[in-house]
Amino acid sequence: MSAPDRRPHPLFPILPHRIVEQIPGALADAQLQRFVGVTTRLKDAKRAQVLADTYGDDLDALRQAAGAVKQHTLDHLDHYLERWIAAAHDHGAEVHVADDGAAARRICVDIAQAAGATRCVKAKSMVTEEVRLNDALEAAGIRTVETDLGEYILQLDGDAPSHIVTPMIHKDRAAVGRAFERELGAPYSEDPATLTAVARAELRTAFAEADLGVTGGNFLVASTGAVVICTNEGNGRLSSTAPATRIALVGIEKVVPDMASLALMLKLLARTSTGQPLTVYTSIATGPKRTDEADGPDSFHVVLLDNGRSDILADPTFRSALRCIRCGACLNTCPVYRRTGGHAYGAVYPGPIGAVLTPLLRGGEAYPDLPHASSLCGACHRVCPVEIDLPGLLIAHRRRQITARQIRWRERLVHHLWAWSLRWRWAFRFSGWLQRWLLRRRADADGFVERAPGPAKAWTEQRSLPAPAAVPFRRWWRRWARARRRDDG
Amino acid sequence: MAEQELLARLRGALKREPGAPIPPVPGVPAAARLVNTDDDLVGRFTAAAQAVGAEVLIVAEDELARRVDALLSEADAERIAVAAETGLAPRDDGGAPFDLDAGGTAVTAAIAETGTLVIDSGATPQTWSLLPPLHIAVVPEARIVPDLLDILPGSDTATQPSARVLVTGPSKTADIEGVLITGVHGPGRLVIMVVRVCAD
Repeated sequence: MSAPDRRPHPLFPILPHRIVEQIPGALADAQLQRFVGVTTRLKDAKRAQVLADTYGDDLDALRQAAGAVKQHTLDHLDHYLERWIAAAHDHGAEVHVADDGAAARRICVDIAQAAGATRCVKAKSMVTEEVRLNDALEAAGIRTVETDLGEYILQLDGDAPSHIVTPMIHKDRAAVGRAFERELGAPYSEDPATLTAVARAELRTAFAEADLGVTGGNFLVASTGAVVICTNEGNGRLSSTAPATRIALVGIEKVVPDMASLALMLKLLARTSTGQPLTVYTSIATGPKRTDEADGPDSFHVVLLDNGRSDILADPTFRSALRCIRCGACLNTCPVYRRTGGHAYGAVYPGPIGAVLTPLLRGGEAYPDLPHASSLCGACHRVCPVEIDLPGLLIAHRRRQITARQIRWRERLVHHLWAWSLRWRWAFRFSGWLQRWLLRRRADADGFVERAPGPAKAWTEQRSLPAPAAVPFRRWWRRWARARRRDDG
Repeated sequence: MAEQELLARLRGALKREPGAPIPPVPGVPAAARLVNTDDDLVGRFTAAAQAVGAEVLIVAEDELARRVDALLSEADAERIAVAAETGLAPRDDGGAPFDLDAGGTAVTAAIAETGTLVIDSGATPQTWSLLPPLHIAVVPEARIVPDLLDILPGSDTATQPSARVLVTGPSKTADIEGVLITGVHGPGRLVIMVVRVCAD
């Protein structure tokens, strides 16, 4: 397979990564603006309509309940994970623990080699992206094919996912046609149905020949030791059923206590993610094929991944971020994500949840401006099915940066000046006078300042700043009140 | 052992003692239930299944075999597999499951809320409902339950199949420019035969 050019991987850029540097390119990319802008709005509207039609005024109570179940599980994760492991063992699954990405790669390669596997089919999984599993399998001589249509196309074209649910939201059909022509020798076509048929035929061969299937996991059910995956195409089922060996790589935070809790999550997940009542296939697996069953994998391995999650768990401020069930709704509703797309975040998890998780998983200094790529509008919190207070967590990140003195002296100076001006009445009035003096003379006929002075000019590069009023409100109020008293008296 | 180390690390992170008691799991609100036993289950199921792109035929028990034959011949299906649990004449045209034109299977249950089929691993290969482009599911009316809450909580038991799948409509994707395509890897056509014991 040819690699188009030697760019660094979009999701594993050179660190520190600054999203602000990616923004001009993203805004200038007309196709990105059109595709990501339109698709996210459609999905967000669909979510809102379906949830309102289905649950009406009960929606918020359900979101609170789902959030409470997830929080309860996280607060007692040792208990539930222990139960899950015991139940999984009872059903014949082999359980492994990967402390970090390197361990996950090593464990999966060891399992594959012990099974003598050389051909792997993969269902879409963000944790496998997170640990870069494909590279490790390929390096060990195990040919690995992504089977989710979007991921297959991205793999073929040397591209990377930009959305956790709809991975090739940024890509157009012509690019797919070109990639298929180049890599598969297929006659060029831009018709999605034709392209899908080409992929289907290629991938059926891969499924038939595969001896290893790798999936992620949406949920781990503690009471039964089950691994649950939610998919739409059928590749998840095929990757879990046809090959002799199955590996599920799952983050430790995916645990739910029991099947009733699973039902609650499922009742919200697909409706929030795509507006479907459930994804087409919700696969609940407990262990390998039983002796009286016609098919299924001979061995079923679950690799539990930590990779920084236990540190997030230990932090009471950020623990709730682990509630995430990866629905993608916060991406679809975010005014920033809608304009930048996923690659700008330079991480496996983009959007609001990505802005919260990435500094925690990869280090705040590696992604210093992600917590600032937000107007704190709160749309993400509003749509989150497990009630994660994402704006609150972004503020917590900002606060940490200040406490850890990770902000520049200019910003610290502005904070001090601002605090000083609020501390004394005369300082406040002086600062008001200074603003009026500096800005009113620069205002245009409509009362807007197009170019603020000094270092503030960066502020007006993209916006017009309304000039302050000629008279401060308090003085205006006193005059108005006096005039009122005169008229009444 | 790696598992014990992980659990110890989590206990340290949570400042919990091993075996410390835990409060009960927060419950599922009553509002989560969308369909009740006294609702029109066949009607709700049919509407929900059609809404996700499945075809639903309501047939009397004694016409099931004829209707399925008609369906198979109209679809020009040659390599066919039919599970014995459907009540139809079992059939397995052999060869690679990947070459089947049609698969007929039974279901453990069906869910009216979402138009979902519950299919468990067992004597019938799971691939029969997954690989062929046409999947025919035989659903006796009595097996339709109201809500997802009637299927999942009951399965916290020791005896369960290694794989249970909830099938909600035919296979689909919208990965290429958001254009909806059915029949990606799983069946592109899902026909659900709801079997009524007495046709009124």
